[in-house]
Amino acid sequence: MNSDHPSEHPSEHPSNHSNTASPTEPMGDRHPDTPSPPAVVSALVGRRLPHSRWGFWIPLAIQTFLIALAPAQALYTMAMGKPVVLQTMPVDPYSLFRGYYVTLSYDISSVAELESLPGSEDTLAQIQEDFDEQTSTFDRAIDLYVVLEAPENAATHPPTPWTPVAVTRDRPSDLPTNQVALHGIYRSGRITYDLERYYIPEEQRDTINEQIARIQRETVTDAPQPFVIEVRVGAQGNAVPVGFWLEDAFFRF
Amino acid sequence: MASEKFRRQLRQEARQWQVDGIINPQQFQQLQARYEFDSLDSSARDRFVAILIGVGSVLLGLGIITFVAANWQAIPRDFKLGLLLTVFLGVNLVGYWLWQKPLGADNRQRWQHRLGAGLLLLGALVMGANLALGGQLFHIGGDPYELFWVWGLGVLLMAFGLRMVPLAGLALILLGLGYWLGLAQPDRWSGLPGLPLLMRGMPLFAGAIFTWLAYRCRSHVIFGMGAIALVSSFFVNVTDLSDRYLTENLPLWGIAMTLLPAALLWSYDDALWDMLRRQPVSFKRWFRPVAQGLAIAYLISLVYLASFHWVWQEPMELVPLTTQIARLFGAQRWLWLNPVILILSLITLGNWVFLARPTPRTPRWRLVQSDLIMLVLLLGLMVVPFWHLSVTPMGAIATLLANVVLALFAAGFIRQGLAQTNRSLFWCGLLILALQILSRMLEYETGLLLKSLAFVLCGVGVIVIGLWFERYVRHLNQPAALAPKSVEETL
Repeated sequence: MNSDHPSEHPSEHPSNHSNTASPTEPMGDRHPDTPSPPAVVSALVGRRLPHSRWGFWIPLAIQTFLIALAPAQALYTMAMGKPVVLQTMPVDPYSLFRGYYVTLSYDISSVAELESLPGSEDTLAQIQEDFDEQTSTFDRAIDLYVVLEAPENAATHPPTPWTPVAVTRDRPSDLPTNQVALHGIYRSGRITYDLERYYIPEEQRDTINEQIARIQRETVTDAPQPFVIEVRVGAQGNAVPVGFWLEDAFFRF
Repeated sequence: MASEKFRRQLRQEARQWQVDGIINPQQFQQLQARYEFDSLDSSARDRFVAILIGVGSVLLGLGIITFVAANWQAIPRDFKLGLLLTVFLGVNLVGYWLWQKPLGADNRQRWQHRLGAGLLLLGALVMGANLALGGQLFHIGGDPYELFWVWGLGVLLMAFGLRMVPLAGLALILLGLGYWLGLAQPDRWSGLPGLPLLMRGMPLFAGAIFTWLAYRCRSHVIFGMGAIALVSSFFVNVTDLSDRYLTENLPLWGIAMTLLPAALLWSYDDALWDMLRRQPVSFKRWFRPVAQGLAIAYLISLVYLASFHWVWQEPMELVPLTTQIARLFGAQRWLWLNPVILILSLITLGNWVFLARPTPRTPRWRLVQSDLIMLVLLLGLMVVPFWHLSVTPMGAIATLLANVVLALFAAGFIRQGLAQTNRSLFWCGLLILALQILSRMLEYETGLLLKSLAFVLCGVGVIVIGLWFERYVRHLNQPAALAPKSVEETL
């Protein structure tokens, strides 16, 4: 279309009308010092329209805040959170550490495991029902909390994993000191805890792989395998991984 | 100020002239003062130093990057985090410092401005890398779409602040990636609170924020991208709504939703903002041509689609108007009571009323000719499918009508292209016409010989008419005298 280019030459437009118009035009016209570079250059580099100095500092501060937010939260949880040990599910050792990151799951990731807990069956059925009722593209997954209890004897190597005792929709308050609520996200039969993905340095990958394969070969079916993850759980139920135990060896993330 | 090369040559020449006696020493002094011969050597030295520093810095930077990469696994996590933030802040600060430096009268600092702009753009990219690496350092799970949203919003703020078109474009691309990756997500949303709401309200977000950004940056491209974002996300909302609430046939709603984007885009008027800000209405229309161009492109695609006869197959059941209205206000009222649909419809309506308002030039309520034609076209595009789906099937007539409208579009483009000697308009018209002829031929005629004949004729026609047009353009002496003032008179 024969569009004029306000972006290119606002003051040179052949219009015979006034061209002071722009709805958001409190900044005035182009900077008087700004030269008119060729159109291609100006398209690539951008012109310099008048702006306030805060137009740089405030966005930069917010960007920095956004970058630092997730790590700061993780550091805080790591410092203040409760140490909890989670039992991993048996995994296929050949596809485990192959890629750029590792995807693990836990015994509390499957709904079947949690349904056996007293009173949890109804909660989970209700969650499933609510999930099925949502039909919109924009619906959220359903949040839930799994209450975990510390083992009697924690001083083993590898440490004994915590056991799930209840599932709730709302974050439980007033838990005894040997219990903690872990935030999970329910999606069609699976629960995730934002603890599924790990980035392992390349050089460690092969040794770890071999060890896991050996452990899984040696572990009797149905017995808990000596492969557990240590995490820290914050007050809001969010968790960050600290490291993992392969038998009595500890690997810090 | 003249270029340095010229000044250097002039100095050499002027010295020779003085020796030859063409100019006297006084005149040489004047030339020297005027063209600053004295500063030639110092500026060359400055530049040499700058290049040395530049090359040195690049090597130093490469060395540091390689060193860090080699020892990345061994660096403690907190240190890595600090390093990432330092790089991010450093690139942005240096970029801004170079970018905002006032340009000298001779534009010698322009390279600094460009370098600064480049660094600011790099800073925006580094922000994404920092977000990704920050999450990776702490093994924070998270989906790519969340990353793109946060990144895009960060860059969007900077684009607003600095009014930089490249940053704005990057922000729009990132937000688009966040939006579409989020939709492609097989599972449901999680994570960032407020994000599902933002996704749901994307048409309004795009309409408000991206349009505002386009004015901030004075960029047609940003406005066009924003309009495309609005229309495409609008259709996501419409699809979502029909999945949820469209339990029975409701052609009225479907047709209205299909035509709403065109009506909205065509009626977009920059002057509305002046009115809302209670300022005198100006005559300049920054983005109206872009919006109208997009509206026309959208309508042409629609009419082209409607020109195929299989689109107009007999409907399964005819739904009378009364039934439709009963459904629309009954169980299926959430189809239009949805905030996004309702607000966009009201804005469209308001825009058209605004277009028809009395002005000093037209003291009565009326639409200018082009708006009127568009309104009639939109009503026609509304009535024909409605009649077909609700009153009586009219497949053949509707197909014919669609083809006539498409041909009129092509003719209008060609006529306008000739009148304005606007090459792209003319070629668009020619292409539409050729596309239409070929489509009809392939649709109705299966004989290979006839097909080849049609291809040949179309090809020859396009070449001959195109060559004629190019000659016509070249020989036309005063194109401006023939040209109407704006695209508003297209059609």
